[in-house]
Amino acid sequence: MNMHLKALLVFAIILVAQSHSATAADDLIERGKYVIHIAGCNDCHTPGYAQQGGSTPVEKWLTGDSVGFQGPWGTTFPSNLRLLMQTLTEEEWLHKAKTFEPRPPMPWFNVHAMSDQDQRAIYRFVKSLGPAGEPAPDYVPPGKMAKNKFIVFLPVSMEKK
Amino acid sequence: MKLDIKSLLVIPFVLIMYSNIASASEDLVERGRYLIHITRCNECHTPGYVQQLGNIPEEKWLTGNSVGFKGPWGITFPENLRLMMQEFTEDGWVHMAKTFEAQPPMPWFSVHAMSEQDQRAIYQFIRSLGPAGEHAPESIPPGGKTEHEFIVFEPVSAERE
Repeated sequence: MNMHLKALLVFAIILVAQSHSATAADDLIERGKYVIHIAGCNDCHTPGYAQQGGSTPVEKWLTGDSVGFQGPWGTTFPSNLRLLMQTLTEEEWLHKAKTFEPRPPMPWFNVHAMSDQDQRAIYRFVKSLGPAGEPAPDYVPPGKMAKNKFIVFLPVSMEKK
Repeated sequence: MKLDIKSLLVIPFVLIMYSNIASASEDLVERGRYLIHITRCNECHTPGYVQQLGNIPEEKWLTGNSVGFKGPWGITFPENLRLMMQEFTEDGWVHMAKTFEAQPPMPWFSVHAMSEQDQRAIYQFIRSLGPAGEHAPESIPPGGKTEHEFIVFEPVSAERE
């Protein structure tokens, strides 16, 4: 084989390898979008998502919410995940996704249960959306008054008459 | 009876086909288990799931809940999906999964977003668990009364002092 042919062959192999890794990365982003879509992250982390029957444009997903949830733990607000992901490397996110236990009503146990690949896919997708929005309000401890609106996340009964 | 070599050759093919079908349907059950685990179905449809941080044995998953959610729509109770799936054929469920619009706070749009294969996997998994538990209470129209507990699923403000 002459030198030209060898060079051409190497060039072709590099092209194929690059397009494969580009496709794999795109696939992971697409997978992350799907996982977010079906896993319900938007129910709390995207303002108006539930009220709009899930039709909120992707650009507005996961920007956090200023409507909180109140219970014995205090008042918590759904974090802005678009900003959060900017502060984490992929490996840091993977570690967090497997170990974090935030306050209610965040169902962290669902995130723990995800495969490595799905946790990674979520990171890639949220990162691909880029930062947007403002940080969610700070956590308010029990007994302190929240300035923002909140849902009282505790079962109650109707008063007996 | 004389067995020629051709008919003997058929046997391994038939065996391979059967084992492929069996392992494909086990894969679908396994896939359904994973999907139920990472999406939010158990949070409402499995009693105590959130309070026990996701540590509820699978046998008790999706048996419905008598704690309701109250809003302008009235009061709704998370259905017993173990009993509900008994009433559906797989294709009947797939049709429902793509088209139903349940009352709040059920995020039906997340179920619509699932691939048909994932919708089938959920059916296969829940059917594999078999029926269990009682039916959830009937939903209550706006203004109606209930003896059951409920979460008021509407944002409120802290009272100004």
